[in-house]
Amino acid sequence: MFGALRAIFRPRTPKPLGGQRWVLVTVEFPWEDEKIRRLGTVEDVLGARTLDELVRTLTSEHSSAVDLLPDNCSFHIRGPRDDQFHTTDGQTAARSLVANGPQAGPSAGVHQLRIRVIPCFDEVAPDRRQAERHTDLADEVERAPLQPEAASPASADDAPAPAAPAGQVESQPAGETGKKVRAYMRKADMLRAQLLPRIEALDFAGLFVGTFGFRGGTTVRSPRVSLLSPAEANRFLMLANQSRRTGEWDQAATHYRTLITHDPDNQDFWFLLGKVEQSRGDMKQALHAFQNALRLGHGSARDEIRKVQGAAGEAADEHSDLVSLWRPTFPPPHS
Amino acid sequence: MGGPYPLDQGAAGPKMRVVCFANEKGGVAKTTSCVNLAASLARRGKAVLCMDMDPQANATTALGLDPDAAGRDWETYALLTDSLLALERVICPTAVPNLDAVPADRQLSNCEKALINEVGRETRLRNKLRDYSKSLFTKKYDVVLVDCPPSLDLITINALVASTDVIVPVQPKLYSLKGMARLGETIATLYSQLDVRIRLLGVLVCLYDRSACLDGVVHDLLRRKITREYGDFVFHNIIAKSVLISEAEADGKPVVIADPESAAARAYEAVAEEMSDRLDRTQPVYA
Repeated sequence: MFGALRAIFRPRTPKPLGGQRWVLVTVEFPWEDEKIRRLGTVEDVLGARTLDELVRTLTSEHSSAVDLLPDNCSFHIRGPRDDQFHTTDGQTAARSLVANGPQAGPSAGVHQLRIRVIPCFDEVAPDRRQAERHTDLADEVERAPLQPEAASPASADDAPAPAAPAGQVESQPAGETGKKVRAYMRKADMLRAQLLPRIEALDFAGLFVGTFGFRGGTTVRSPRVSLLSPAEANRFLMLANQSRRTGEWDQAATHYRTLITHDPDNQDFWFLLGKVEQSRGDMKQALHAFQNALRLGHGSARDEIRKVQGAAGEAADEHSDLVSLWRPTFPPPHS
Repeated sequence: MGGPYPLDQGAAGPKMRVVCFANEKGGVAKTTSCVNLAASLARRGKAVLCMDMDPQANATTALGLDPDAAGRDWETYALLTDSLLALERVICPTAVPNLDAVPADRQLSNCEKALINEVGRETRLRNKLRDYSKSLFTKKYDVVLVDCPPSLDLITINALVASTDVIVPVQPKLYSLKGMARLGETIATLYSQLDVRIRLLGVLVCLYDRSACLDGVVHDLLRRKITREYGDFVFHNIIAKSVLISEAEADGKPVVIADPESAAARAYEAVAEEMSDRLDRTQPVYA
């Protein structure tokens, strides 16, 4: 009986989303046409010039990581631990972020900001089944929109006088819009993973010799700075290994390349990338990866190189046989 | 080569800033940016000279001048090849107040062949600008904007050598960024071989398509890379793709003059404000 009463009067807590969740927070500017000229980006609103500052600005009790999206008006927030990140936390974090910005206030129009919070799942889904479950959960959240909260203590306390910039928290957009947003995010993440190594490899140092001069010799070498924190790198490694085990070669290769961008001197990353490329059938890329692993001292890379070269030789032999079989025999000229 | 380069008028006098728009990749809105920023700066009361060094003469046309007009042939070509022709002889007024132009002509494409055996072929334009600046009888400009051709040939090198600053317009695409990297190699070579100290005033993202996911990602990655490794060198304002710009160019006017209330014009005005702020904050490095 007591158990039934306890079940009835149990305080309702926000439904946990499970796993390390990211939510998408989109800040909509009321001055859509003038945002380029006046404040530009959400970074300016929040007073954070770089991503690192934005991360520091974010209160640690609400989230552990934040990722500014390319439209500069949206950012991802990730929960600190498993099963402890709720959509309401996302709203509170976003509201306190906006309220704590130095430019917040009526002059900046921040009090007119509209904030949307959309749960995102598929970034961290370790396998497809779980991703489907998360997608279902996302649809469920969309069907039951959250109620706008009253002004949170953080925003009310920290807001500059005279007007408190209470960001109006809206529910998630309709299902179709949410799907479009998620599709955009997925595509952006895929493009980001593809383009990151190629853009990082470009050397723009020559443009700055007139400003900074040559540094330490005849050429300017840009410092190697990783975009990934150790926690992020571990997460990518876990995803890469998981994708490799489940046979999702494209995804695994993408994750390994991201890890190599993070740590190009890691022989294991190169070796595993070679294995993935080998399984995918791209022998040229596999050979390149194995050669890099061998250069960095990986013991098994030499055998794999022999295998790849042997496979390539057999393929070439087969190809030449086919060519000789299929080549039509023309009569010699002037016969 | 007496006197500190480039264009000083004495210790207390103003100094002209020569800003060139360069990128090896074509179609990244070099000409459009040059013309519109020239018009925007002129509207702000600065005396501006826009030099068209592109044999296609698009900047000349966009400013309402006819590159094929009688008596206007061979002028830019002669400016680089004829050591006796002064810069003031080829300057034309435009319909925009405070804005003058040096029109290009199609013979400019033969300039490289004509200069190939000449001594000091890389510094022709710099010497002309220096002589112009030193003359007591010439109109002084606050800013000279130079529109470069989409290549790294002798014309572009003349423009880079003559400039104190460079703006690199880029389209948020990978090939455009590669052209930017190649331009950096050229500037580094000029620095080491000719001691040319040209400052990067900024990277201007143009032709930004808001609906394209790729543009957003490339812009974000580029901005993060440059900010992280070198500093705040990417212009905060970006130029979005707009059909109004092309329509205004076809009408022979910059969009900031033809349709000043349009979003494209306001974006260029914002870049011009940012550009003048950067010019005020930095000092040119003299070779």
